[in-house]
Amino acid sequence: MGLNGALAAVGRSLEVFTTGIHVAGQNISNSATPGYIREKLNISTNLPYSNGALILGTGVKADGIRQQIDQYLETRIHASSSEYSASNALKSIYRQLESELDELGDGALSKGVNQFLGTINDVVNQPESIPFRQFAVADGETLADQIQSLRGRINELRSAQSIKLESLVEEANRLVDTVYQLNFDIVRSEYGGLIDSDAGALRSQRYDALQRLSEIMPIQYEERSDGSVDVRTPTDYLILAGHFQYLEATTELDRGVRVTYVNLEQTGSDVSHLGGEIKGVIEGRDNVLGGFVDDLDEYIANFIYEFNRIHSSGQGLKGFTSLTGASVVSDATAVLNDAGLRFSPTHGSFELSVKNRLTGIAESSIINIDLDGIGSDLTLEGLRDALNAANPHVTAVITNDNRLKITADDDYEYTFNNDTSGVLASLGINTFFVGEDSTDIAVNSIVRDDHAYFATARGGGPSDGSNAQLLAKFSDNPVAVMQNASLIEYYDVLISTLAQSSATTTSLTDGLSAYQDSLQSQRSQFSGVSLDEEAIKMMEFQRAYQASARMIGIIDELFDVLLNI
Amino acid sequence: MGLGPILPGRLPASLITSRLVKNLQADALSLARLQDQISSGKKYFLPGEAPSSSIRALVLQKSLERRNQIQTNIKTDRTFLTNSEATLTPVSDLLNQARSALQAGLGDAATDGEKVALANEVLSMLQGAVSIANTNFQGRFLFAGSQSQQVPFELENGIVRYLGDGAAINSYIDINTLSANNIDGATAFNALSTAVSTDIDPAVTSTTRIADLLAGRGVPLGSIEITLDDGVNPAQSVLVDLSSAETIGDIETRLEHAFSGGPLTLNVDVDPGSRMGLRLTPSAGTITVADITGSDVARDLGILGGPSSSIVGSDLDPSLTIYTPLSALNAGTGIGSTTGTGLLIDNGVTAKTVDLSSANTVQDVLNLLRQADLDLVVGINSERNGISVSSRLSGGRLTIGENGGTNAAGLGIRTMSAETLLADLNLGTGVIQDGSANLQITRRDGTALTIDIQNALKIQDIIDAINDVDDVTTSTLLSELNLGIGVPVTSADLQITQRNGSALTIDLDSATTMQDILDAINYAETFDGTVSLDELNNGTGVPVNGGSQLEITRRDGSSVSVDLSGSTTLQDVVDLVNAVDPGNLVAAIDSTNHRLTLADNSGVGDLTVAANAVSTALGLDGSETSGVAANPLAGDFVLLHLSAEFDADAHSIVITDTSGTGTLTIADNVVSQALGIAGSEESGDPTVSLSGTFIPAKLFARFNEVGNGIEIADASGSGSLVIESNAVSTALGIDGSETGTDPTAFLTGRDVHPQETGGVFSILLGLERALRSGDDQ
Repeated sequence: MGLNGALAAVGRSLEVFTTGIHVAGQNISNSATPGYIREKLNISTNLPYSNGALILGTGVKADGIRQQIDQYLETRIHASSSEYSASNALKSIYRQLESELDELGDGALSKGVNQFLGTINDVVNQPESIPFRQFAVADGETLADQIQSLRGRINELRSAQSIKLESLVEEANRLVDTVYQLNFDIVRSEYGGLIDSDAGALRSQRYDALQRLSEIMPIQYEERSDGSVDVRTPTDYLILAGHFQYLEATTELDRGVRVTYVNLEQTGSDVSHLGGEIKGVIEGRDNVLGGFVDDLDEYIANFIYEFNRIHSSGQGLKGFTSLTGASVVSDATAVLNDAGLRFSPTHGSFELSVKNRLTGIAESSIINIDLDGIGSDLTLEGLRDALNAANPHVTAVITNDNRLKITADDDYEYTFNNDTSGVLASLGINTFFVGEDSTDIAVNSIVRDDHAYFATARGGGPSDGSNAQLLAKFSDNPVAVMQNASLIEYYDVLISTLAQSSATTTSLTDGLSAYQDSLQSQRSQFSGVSLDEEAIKMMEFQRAYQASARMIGIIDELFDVLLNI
Repeated sequence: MGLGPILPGRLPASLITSRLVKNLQADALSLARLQDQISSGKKYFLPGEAPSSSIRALVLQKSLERRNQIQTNIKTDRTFLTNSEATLTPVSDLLNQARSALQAGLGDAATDGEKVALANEVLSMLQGAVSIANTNFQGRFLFAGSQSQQVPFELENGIVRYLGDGAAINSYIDINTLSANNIDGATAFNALSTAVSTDIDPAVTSTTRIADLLAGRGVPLGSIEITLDDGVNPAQSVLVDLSSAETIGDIETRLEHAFSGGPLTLNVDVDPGSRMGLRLTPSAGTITVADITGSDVARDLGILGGPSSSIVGSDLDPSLTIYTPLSALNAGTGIGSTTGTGLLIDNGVTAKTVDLSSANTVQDVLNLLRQADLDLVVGINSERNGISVSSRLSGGRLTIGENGGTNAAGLGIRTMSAETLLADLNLGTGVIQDGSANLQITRRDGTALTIDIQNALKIQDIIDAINDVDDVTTSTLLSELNLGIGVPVTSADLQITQRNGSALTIDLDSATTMQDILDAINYAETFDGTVSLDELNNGTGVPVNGGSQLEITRRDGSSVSVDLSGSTTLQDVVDLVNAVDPGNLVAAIDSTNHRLTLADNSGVGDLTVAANAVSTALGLDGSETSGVAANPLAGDFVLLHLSAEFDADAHSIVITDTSGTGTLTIADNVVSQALGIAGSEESGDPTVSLSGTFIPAKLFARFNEVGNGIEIADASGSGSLVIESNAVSTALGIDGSETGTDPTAFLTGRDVHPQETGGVFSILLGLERALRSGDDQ
């Protein structure tokens, strides 16, 4: 080996050391770049050659620049990201729902109910007071509005989740595009490269994209030998051997709200419930918000019915001269508990009292509601006939839209009492509220327009508040269809369950967050840039470079000596 | 926010930075939360932050809100009650002034002119009291009950009329506690007379509501187990769910429906005997009714029991409702005919006859009473077992009596009835019963009587004490009965329709004593050889197959045992005896006297039939000791189905008929009426007797026709009937004399139990009238 060989070896080392300094510089430059994966210059001794008996080295060579990444850890991070994102989305929805309910604040529904019942208590104290009667009716309207408003806000919340889903789908598709494109770029960049991760920046971008994609939906990726990756869902593929497919959003109507679900565009696989933020949002929208809507509707439906059951057995300050039921039956010849009514009446009876306004004399009749399933049971037509037979001064007819209408003769008025069957409440006769659930609850226009029909009495004079007494504590009564829980208990359980579920989800999310943080810490420890380390490397390469340069100087001097001989 | 552990190895700057950032974020978050907590006073903002604490807070918050409302309620109540109290305070001053006026106007202390002046003064006090009673506060007439929007008291023509009601205006003073924030006029001023009301024992009907049973306590329904077993088919056991039943009719329907598939079926109805409970009868075999564990439905419905051929339920004691038919009142006996009868009502201002002929239900009666415009408050009493009638008028006395029938008594609203307590008479001053005075009666025959009334409690006790003076026994001559009018036995025959449908016409023309009447009835049925032995002795029969024989000791001293086994009729018995010694030992049927006879010409000794189950049942046990062959041994009277007895205590005839399960009827005519046995017994139960009504003798006390006073007649002679005036007779309203010579003419008593309001208005009105009229009493 001559000086030329030594010079060549040293010259190559200068190139390698320059590269080393470049890699360190790259690492230092990106030390604060999120998701950046540190790179490392892999160097090795160049192949030696034989010179007689001597085997001489030829210096150093750069094997390549490799990203420092733990692929297994990356897989774990993706999995935990999916779980965390799903849970976090759910937690967020719980929080939003709790915020809407504001149960610990002033806008709580339970507060509204208490306010309404408080006003009825005022009527109980002074049943003859016109202002208190008006307040009670007005508070009923306020409560109905509050309930409808709450339902509207929850509907908006659900709609917002669908919008969010569409946004996630768009983002996921962009990420698929990105990964797909980066696959090409990486393959192209690394083609003929020294080692398989030379395109570090591109790979970092791809890792970032995959990381975000794993948050949106659960994915698994597998790197091919050419540097491209295949990306799969647990049941299908997203990117496979140069092919890819997008996610698509489909919509349908659920509980009055347009809701979005997510499929894969080409294979049609459902990815709505696989995991990630998509699953969290959908489950939050359908199970948390939707489930609450169901419970709220159940609560409000029973609230309406139970209040109306009591109200319909009471009397206001005056009787009715003509009244049309608020509820429609599907078929006037169908048995009443199978006639499409939201609230089915049961076997029982009610009393119809018809008063001659001139004499003040009232005649009461019992109207039997035969729904015992033995023999012929009562239909709306049968009820009409029974009413017509009960008293010659009232006429019952069925309207064209299948409602019951009762009209009294001139100088007569009628009231109801003691309805054990619930048929009056079912048919919307002498009720305070109309509607079926939280979407349409409202105060009956008959009561709203004339508070004298607010049924506070049970047969007494203007200061008879005995029915108002029952109304004031109706929410304490056991409700059979609620397993004999009272409305108060039902709502308490509803809020309690929500709070417990929210707390559980929060706890789960915190756990997943800690786990993810732990994994991210590991990733950071493994792949993050340590400035100390890079400084040392830089110094190492610097010194090596300086030594190599000195070596060139020496060789040069030697050449001078040689040439001056 | 959790931070993961730092693993050994590298420690990149980015990791340190991110950890620092997270720590700072966590600290900032904690600070922000603390700031929010301090500024809002709330530890949590969402229930999910701390479910247990939040729910506790929610429950407490709810409770607090309700308590606040209760506080508001109590404040409102206090406002009204304080005002009511303050309003009533001057009334006590008015009463003190009235007392002064009373004392000033008593006796000769004041001249007539001064008394009139005092009367005017009392009248102005009355007007003041009425004005106080009409106080209005916050739009409510304080003393009007629930009729708070109209003036509650009217003073008109010396009468104060209360137009309010007795309703309480309740409000919640605790979660489940109600308290009235008013005092109605009836309570504050005693403005309604004491309600006239008695238990009129409504019967059960198919429309009776379950909630009205057991005096309104109702029966909590569930399932019961019923088993039918005829010993042939497998026993049918069904668990019947009654929980949705509303009425007795619903229970009937459900129970019958449960067995409608057969083979055994079940009939359920209201027991026609008592009319107070259910009756369950299977188509064959026996029935058993049982409660399931933890349930008492069958027990409460009174039908727990069996196995038996039929279950007759116990008294379900239903409450009275406005829908109760009049026919169901008084255990199903009704209120008597309403045609041409009705109620005589005098409210102290107006007297009217209320015609009830159009009434079918309690509601109809109540509405007819309201329509009568007699200022009455009518309704169902608080015990829910009777009608309640009060007067709204202070200054007038309410009396309710009969218009010739029994409607008032049937409705339980006669102001004076047999059950009226003596202590309640004369507006509660009662009758002196300390022995210082007794009822002193001088009869028309001149004899003097003293009737001790010290132990009497009710009006009926007084009537009974008078009626008990003259004994009536089976030997009493019919001519002594009914105030000496007797029984017109020749005017008509007794027409009896037995339970088996057989009609009997009994000629009483020759009857002169009560025993004659009883005998005529007892001997009315045909007693001949065709009579089945099973029918004898009110259906207990003759135990001819029980081992006993007819043991006869003949006049010649020989003994004969006649085995009557297998005999089924009286003729069989006679034939078997006659076969022993044909022509010498002769048994015969005495159809006239309902007995058997036995003659024996074998000797001159005694003829004896030993007493045993057979001979006793045939009435043949005994001896004939004359030694004369021609004298037969005459058996005792042998009862068939129909029997009559006289109840000396009740002065009434009791008739029993075991011929069947139909109705025992005695046609209404002059004879049956005079004997007090016109009517029918409809239970169908052969053991239930038809009890006649009281048969008067010569001294006879009863309610007058209107039913508001006692009247007394005496047929002992033709002199005057005199009841000495003393504290007792005056308190009973029967002091005086009947001086005519007609022994059937009654000394008519006064109504001593009118109803009157007892409040301040009545006192002032009474005082004003007394002063104006100079009545010191």
